[in-house]
Amino acid sequence: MSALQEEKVGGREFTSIFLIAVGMKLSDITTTILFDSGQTAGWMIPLLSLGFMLIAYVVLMSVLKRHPGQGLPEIVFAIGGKFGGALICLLLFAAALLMTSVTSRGYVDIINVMVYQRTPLYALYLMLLAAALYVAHRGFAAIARISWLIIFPIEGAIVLLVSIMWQDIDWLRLFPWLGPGPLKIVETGLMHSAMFGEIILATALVPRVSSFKAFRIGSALGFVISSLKISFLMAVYVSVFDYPEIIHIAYPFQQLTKNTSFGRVFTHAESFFIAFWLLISVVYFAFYIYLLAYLFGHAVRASDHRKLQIPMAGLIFFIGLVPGNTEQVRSYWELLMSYSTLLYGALPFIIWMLDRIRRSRHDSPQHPQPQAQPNPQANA
Amino acid sequence: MTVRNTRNRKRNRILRRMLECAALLSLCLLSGCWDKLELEEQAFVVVIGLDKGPRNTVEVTFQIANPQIGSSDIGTAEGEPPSDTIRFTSSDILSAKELANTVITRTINFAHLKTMIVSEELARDEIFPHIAGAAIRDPELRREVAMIVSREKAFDFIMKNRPRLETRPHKYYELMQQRWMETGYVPFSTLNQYLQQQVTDSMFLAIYATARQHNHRVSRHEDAYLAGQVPKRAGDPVQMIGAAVFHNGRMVGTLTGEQMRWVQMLRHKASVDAFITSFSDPLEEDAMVTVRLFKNGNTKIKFDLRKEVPRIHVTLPLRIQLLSFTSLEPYATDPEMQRMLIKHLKEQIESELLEVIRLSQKKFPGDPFEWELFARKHFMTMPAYQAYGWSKHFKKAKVDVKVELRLENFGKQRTPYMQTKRKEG
Repeated sequence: MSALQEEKVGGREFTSIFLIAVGMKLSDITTTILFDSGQTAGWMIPLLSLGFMLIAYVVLMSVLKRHPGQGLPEIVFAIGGKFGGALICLLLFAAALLMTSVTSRGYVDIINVMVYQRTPLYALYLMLLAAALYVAHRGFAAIARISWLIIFPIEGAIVLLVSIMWQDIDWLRLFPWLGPGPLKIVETGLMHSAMFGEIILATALVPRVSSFKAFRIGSALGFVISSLKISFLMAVYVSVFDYPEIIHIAYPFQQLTKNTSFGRVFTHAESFFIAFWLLISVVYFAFYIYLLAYLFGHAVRASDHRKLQIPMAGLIFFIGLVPGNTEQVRSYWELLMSYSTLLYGALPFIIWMLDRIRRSRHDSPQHPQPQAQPNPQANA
Repeated sequence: MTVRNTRNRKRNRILRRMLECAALLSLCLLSGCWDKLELEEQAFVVVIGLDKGPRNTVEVTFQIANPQIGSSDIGTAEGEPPSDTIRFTSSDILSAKELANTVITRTINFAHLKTMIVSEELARDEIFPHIAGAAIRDPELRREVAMIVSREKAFDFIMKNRPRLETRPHKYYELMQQRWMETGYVPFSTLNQYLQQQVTDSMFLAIYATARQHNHRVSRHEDAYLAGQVPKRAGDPVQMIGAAVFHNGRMVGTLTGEQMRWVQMLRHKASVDAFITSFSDPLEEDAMVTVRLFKNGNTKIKFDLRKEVPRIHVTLPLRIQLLSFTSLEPYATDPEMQRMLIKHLKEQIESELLEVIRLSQKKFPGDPFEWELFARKHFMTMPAYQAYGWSKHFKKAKVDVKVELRLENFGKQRTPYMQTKRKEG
């Protein structure tokens, strides 16, 4: 089946993909790293980061609106030419690949440290990627449908988790509310904006979504709700564990699930939450494998990007095994985050500028009104 | 010919599907060999005891439950004890866990560990924060483990603690935990809180217990005892009352059961919300009034940190039920006497609260009331708060306490029996 004949995805399925893919960050090393510099004000950072990323997103959307039915790679090729397009595509692909590798390694570390200590890392990694690959291979529509299917149980599980822990929460622990000081928070928020870099990458998938409007609403809603969710859960972590203690804890989400119990009889409720968590990590990485193959496929103009999924999973696996230990994963993550923030932040402006230059060059002699492009709603 | 061909192809396809399914199913069966746990081969530690060993080592005591006792499988385990207790000397808890397998046939598992007993000697030692901090790295050791400080060696405590009415050790601690929440004689302390409150400006209170009768004394207030001082005869040897006070992860002092109750009341969120206590009678010197106290909402704490000497206003909303009064005065029916009684109780509670506050200002290096959370509210940034140094300021703070008291009821008797008698006399 060629990529062009693939089934298109509706708005609610698309939204749920982002609710899962971005909301997942509340459970991984992202939060721990943000607490390091954010202290008691760590919960503000996701909101600030999203704020910064949304600026880039709006700029990019203004370009996308003028190219109905086209995704980021198509536009990049249209305005950057063969060489420039491939270069930008490969840059995005490289950033996404490294990020996925480091993140997936982080997940495998969590499983290794918190659940299966004696299982070798590579075995866990292989199992996670094999499952993700299987889902990814079913196509984007399958990922979307699974996301839509499990989104409610997952959000329900999070609500359940917080309500079980409610009596351990003391909101006073969020004070002093500015943590390390406003400057430091804004700086950390800006430096870590790339944690919402998916919002830029997601624009590659415009052709896969039923309408541009569905894409716009879906991505914006998905990201805003996810960042609110991450922010809220981070506030919960601090108000359960308290400030200096939170930076000692390696995986706050898993620790929180370990503290839960259903009444006095079911005291080990974490297995319930871990099951959900494993389920969504598979969907999460399936989405990434799909996205990586899609981006690379477009960069090299491959006819069927699905065939690239297995090599992608292999690449993730080998790059992911490079860091020696959990702390190195953390420092690589930090490094990647600052570089990709630069990429995701600058790229929309570059595209916007190139698009402008191209339009003024192309359109001004023939058409007096370059703004009057085809209606973006036309394909809705 | 063609029909047969298609049929063959179809059969082949079905065969292939079946093979695929078999391969996938075998994955389920063959996987999980690395971290497999055989339930039959586990030894579940329910209580762990820590003592100071020679040359920076710890003596780790494991009380291992016998899962066959108290189950339907009792028939095969007749004559086996409900639990086994063994002590090992090792450099830390986790290495003791492996060392234990030189004696114990099953894999030691901490998944059901509920209680950790630390001897006072070790708790006061500077090595203790290191031991506790190191042990928590093991994912099997939960942060929800209750922490008890025993006056004697933890090993002796565990050995002597053979509750007669509870055969299984885990049940004993599980039930005790419920009682702690009800009576408020001890703080409800977990390892999580211990690790949380290890910072400079915060204090941690742990359950204080003993299995030995110390200087036995009788107080007019039924709760002014430390563990080992409760006047009791016979029964189980273990008593848990009072609190061990920790600062920077090390034990620095104790609080009696009575003081502990007031500390809980002064914290803005109490783990105990009702307890029974007694006060002196306003009309008769020797008589006592016994009441059930309820916390009527959260304690309100207001700070004024502008001056060098901070001012703290505490408002404690309480409601009480009058349970008994030995003076047998007609409090229930006489509104004038009621007002007097309420005023008297209020003053008594206020003075007792103030006494606890003064004591902790004088004796302890920080505040055990978790008031640092309120102090934090007055600072914009963490560095500013850390520079202020709350413990230092708490010690010289001026505190006033206001109790809002509401007398709810007088029990199921309206007028006391003696009233008629006295009128005759």
